[in-house]
Amino acid sequence: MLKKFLLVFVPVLTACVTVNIYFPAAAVQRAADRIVEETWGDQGKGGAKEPAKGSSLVPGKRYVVLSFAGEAFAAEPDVNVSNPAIRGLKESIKIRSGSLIPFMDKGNAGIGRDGLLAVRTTEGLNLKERSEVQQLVDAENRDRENLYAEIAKANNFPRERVGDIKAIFARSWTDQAKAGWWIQDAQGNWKKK
Amino acid sequence: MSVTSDTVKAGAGPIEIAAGFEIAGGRFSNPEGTRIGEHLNAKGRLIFSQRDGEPFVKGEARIESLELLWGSFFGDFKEQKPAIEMDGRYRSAAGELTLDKFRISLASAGSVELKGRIQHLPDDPAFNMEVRSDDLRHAGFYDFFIKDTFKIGYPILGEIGTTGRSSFTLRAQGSLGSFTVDGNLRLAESVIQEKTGSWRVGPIGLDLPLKLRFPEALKESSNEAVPFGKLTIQQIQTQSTKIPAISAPIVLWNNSLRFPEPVQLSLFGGTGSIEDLAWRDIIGAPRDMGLSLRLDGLRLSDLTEALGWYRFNGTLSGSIPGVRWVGDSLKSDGTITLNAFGGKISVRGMEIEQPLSPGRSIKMAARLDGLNLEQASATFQFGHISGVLAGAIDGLVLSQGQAAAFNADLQTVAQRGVGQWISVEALNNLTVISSGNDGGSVFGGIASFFDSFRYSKLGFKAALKNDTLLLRGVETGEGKEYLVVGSWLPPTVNIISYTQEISFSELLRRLERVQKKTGGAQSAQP
Repeated sequence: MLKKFLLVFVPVLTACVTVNIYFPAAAVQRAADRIVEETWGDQGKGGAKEPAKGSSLVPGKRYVVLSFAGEAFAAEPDVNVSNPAIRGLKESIKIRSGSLIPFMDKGNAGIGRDGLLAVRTTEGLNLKERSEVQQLVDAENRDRENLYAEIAKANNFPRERVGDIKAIFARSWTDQAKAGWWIQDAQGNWKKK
Repeated sequence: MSVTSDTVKAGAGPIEIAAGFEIAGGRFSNPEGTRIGEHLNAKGRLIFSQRDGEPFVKGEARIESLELLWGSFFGDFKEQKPAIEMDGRYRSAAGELTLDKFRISLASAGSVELKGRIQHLPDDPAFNMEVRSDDLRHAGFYDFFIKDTFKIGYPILGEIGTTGRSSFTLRAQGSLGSFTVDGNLRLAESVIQEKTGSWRVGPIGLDLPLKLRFPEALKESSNEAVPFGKLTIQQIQTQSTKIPAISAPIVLWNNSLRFPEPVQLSLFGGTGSIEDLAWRDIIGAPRDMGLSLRLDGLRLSDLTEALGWYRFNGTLSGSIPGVRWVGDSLKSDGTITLNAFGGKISVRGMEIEQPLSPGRSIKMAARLDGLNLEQASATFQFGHISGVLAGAIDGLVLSQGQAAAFNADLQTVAQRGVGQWISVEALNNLTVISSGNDGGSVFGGIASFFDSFRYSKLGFKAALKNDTLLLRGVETGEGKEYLVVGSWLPPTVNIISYTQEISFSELLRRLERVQKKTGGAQSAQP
């Protein structure tokens, strides 16, 4: 009887929950989903989205230490994704999407594993289009990198977190990609969505 | 490709073989596929001869069509009708190519001619060439080589046009890893303008002796005589402003580009002087530049009109003793002072982050002293407020033409002889901005007998970040934020704010409402 009592109550009495969130991955994921929808949403209509799993994307960035308790999650505040610089970059990405998406549809450009675009193949393009797709991809990637840096700055994340934001956005770009677009997997192989 | 030999001369004189050639639908590419030529259609004629035992080649070619991809550059040369003329010889034993003439012309851009010698051609080429052009047309060159190539990445380039002509005579000597270019560059009747005509710079004239060293400057004796050039700009014009002629000596020597004398500008009824404008090494360290700036007596009425702001009177003066690059930012020391609304606004710590990027942001801080609210409220058509305002705006960041962040602490200071009154209209406007609601009903009843109310203090502490404005009162008590604190003498008024956070979009809506109510044309004069 005493054994049963100890088994049930000692862990309960000594239970201690410590939740430390160093990086609000889930909130960044929500913000990334929203931005991708706002910028490429009309044209890039993706397939079914899986629920965001921020912590699995950025392993080790979110620590939930439980000595004994059910699963506990800290309520993450939304991250800030609106200021003039971010709005400017979103607008630039949105405007460019009209020119880029035909190249995505044809498979000339694809979404790399880092979430940036890459020229996959120039097959079927004349020289002018080859130059155009390369310039569009370069400009798009420049804007995306600047966007991630601005989001980090707006939320007072240290500069080292820009890589995490980029990784989270990579998932959003991939999830919301249209069926038929080319996406690079973790091993670097291109696959049609 | 077809080749037709049409004359062969042999005998006592030198041997000469003349041949015509024609390339139809030619294509070439490097192995990486980054440099490709397609649809090459060309016709030409070559004459091979031997003089003093050396082989000479003379020829000409006209390219009827060519599409060229060269890295980021794509050019369709069909309209350009490139023409090439050459006259030279090659000594294979010494690996030496001598060009008596190599001239390439493009229909819209003009022509460039090369003359000189390249030694050790197969291994480590060393050259001594003269490069010249008498008639390089800016419009054709800019459109073909710059605008069309880079406008996708830098859309601003598509909005700019240029006209005018250049000529240059340059000598290039050295090897590909390290060489010197010296000579003279002239620009005539050059104009740079925005496509819709919102601004225009020119005509620009430049006469510039130059000496450049690649990849970086050489340390040279300081007693070398450095020749001066001259830059003239006849006019800088925007829709509302004309800056008259600017003329200044200019030096580009051993990679250092500098203006040895102050550049004087007549600006908005005052004067500006740019001093010590210099790049230490425009090839090796192109961002390493510095300048100082002095402004004196610029009329704010003209300046605000040019910027499309509310127009107000006053003057702007100041001195920025140093502008320099730090990391990605262009930072400045010194203070610019605006004498306006009977007081002064001192702007300091101006900084441009990533000035060359479209996402550039401008940072600064300002101190406000003794601003007459009567003048200011009349200018901004906010309703009548009397009193004197002072305070500071720190961490002001402007991005994409909008305020992106600031911390402001502004409040009235009591001053002998200056009344502190606020009209019902101004109270209403303050209420709309702070709460989003009209204060009309509040000012009914007994308050409706008055047009204005006394106050003892008016002001706010505001912080803008990430499109959210945190608005706090000039006094705080029991969870209330007082934007206006009443005086002990009637008629008096308090404005208490309960909503401290206002989103950017909501703030814009509220400002729009105030502007509609006041009919806020942006041309009010105090």
